[in-house]
Amino acid sequence: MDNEDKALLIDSLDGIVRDQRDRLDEALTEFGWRDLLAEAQEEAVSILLRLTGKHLAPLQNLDAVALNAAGMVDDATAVVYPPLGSPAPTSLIRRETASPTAVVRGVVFARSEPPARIMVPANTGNRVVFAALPWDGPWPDTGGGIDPSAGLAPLEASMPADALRITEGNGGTDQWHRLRAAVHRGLADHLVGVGSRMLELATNHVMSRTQFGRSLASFQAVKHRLADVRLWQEGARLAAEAAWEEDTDSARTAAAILAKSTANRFTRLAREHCQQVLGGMGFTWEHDFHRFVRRALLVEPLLGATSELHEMLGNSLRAEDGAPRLAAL
Amino acid sequence: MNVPADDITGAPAELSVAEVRTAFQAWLHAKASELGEFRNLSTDVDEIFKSLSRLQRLLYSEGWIRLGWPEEVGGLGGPLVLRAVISEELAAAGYPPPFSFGTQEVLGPAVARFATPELAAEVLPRLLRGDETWCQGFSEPGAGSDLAALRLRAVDDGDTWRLSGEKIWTSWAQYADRCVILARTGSLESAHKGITAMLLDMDTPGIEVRPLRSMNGDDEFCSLYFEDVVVPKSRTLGEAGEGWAVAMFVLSCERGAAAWQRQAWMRWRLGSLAADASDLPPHTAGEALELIHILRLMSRRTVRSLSAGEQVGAVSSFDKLMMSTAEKFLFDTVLSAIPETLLLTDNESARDWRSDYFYSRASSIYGGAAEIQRNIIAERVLGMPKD
Repeated sequence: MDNEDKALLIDSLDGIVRDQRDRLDEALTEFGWRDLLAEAQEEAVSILLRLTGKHLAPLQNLDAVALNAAGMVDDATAVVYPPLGSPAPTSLIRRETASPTAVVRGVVFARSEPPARIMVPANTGNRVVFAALPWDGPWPDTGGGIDPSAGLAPLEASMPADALRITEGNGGTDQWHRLRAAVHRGLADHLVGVGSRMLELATNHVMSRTQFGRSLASFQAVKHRLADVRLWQEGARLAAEAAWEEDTDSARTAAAILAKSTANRFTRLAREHCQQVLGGMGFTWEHDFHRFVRRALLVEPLLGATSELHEMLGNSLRAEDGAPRLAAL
Repeated sequence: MNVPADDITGAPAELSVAEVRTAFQAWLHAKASELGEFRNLSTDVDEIFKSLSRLQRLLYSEGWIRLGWPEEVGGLGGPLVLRAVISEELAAAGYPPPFSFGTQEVLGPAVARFATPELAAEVLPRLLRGDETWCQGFSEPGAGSDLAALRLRAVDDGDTWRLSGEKIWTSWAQYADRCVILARTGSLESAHKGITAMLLDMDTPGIEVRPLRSMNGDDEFCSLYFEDVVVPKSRTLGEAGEGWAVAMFVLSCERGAAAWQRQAWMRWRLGSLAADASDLPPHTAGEALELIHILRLMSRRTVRSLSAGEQVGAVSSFDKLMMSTAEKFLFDTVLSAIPETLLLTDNESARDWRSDYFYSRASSIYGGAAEIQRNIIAERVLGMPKD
């Protein structure tokens, strides 16, 4: 895809995400985003997720991104992500008894109709497997918590696991790692979209206000806070882009973790510094700032908060062949 | 793809970045025992200088560090990124960058661009070969962050300039053969419009060099005193009165290309730390890895821009600010992970950690302080007003 095509695509998707957020899934399908996802994964994911961040649209399409990366395209399947903060599965599958059971714990995206089945990364014994389970219980139909507009809700269920389809051994772990990398990349772009709007709101605010008879933006204390946010915006953008360029599974995994952890850092700094320079205005309900803060707070710990992601990176240094070398010239 | 190392002097412009990388890795591997002395350097600065010059001459004679430099100045041609590949692989294999390596990337491109072709062809090959080291005479007492306030005077004597005044923070001037210097040729009020850049021979009469011991114990920085030092006008870099453009170009190379070498070195240092400190907390090591990765992405972009001959502009301030952020974090991590080594041990490895720790403190000061970089980002990238 050349730059001109890309600009056109961004433009069209921007309109859809902004104006049709209440029927985003349908509108995206009509537009052909699903086909684009199959043909040009990078553009489909990075552009859409950045725009859903910018416009604070629902994040439901993450399921399609995740399943596509795991080699499954199926609207009737929902993904159960690990609980907030955890980059690793906490669901369990017990197979040692005559009737195997699944203890499912995590977060899911709300749906108007319950899914036919769920895909769950889960621990069994000391391995991670990727399990498909039929689903016939109730399902959250709206998002909850600090930012219902994201469409994210907790899910806990125990169920018999005899109709279980499981991807065993390395295959299951690999599939889960590919899915997680795809979600990390998507969330990194989403946070870049969210953080960029926070920076824009703060910059516009300080440029348009005066205190002590001079522009708020002319105070060095104000400039330096926003310069730091801008530095990490640059880092987060570069890391999100670079997460698509690696060609081995282990390098892709590491680059995706780096993209997510850098994006987390960007929005954490944006929450802190933009809030401060927005002053009282940023603390009102009327100002949009709090909506971006809510989304950032919710997405930062999704599939691993910063410290867990850093821990995974640090452990990779001690791996047998060291941390993979990324971002070749 | 495997390119035999002896093919490198053939047609490097034809080789891809990946081919050069593979060939150089293979060469380093094959020569590992011969190169061993360069991995464990003496602690005596004179010895280090001699040893690093030998390494540089070896790399030059084998062609590796001629890659990415134009043939007119002693190079083998090919894109500039090849230089970044070589410096990265050297660092990744645990070799220190030859001292003048940094200088090469910081000052070499400016001389290649702004000197007359005759001058560039005369002096650059000596720099690349390791026959000479160069230094940089920019800062003065009272003109550090505010470089445009520099006062060292160059009087126009017809065919020559006559220099009088002071410079400070010039690294390794006591070993340097030449100096890229900024002098005031206009009035003081002309600020950045009245500055001229030139290439000065350090053995010219009238120059006094006084080393200034820095907190890590090295005599790296020097004060330079000039009294009626005569410089031929053929040594002017760029046009008279337009030295600011030379200075900005040098700074963009320093913030960009040199940052690339720095990140490769930091990545290697982090690996050494992981080996030395068995209880290094993984989340801290991971954060260091993240910061170095971001510096890598930023400086990679700058190296690519420089290689394509594009203007770097204000984005190099991102590189510089990220470099000091990463470097300080890395050595704060070292301090908390191996305090006994860093603080109470007296072997060579401990002294290296100590010196690197101290040096990291300077990273947010030299080459444009962090505050200056933040001002540039706020004003030139975000469009906020000057105060």
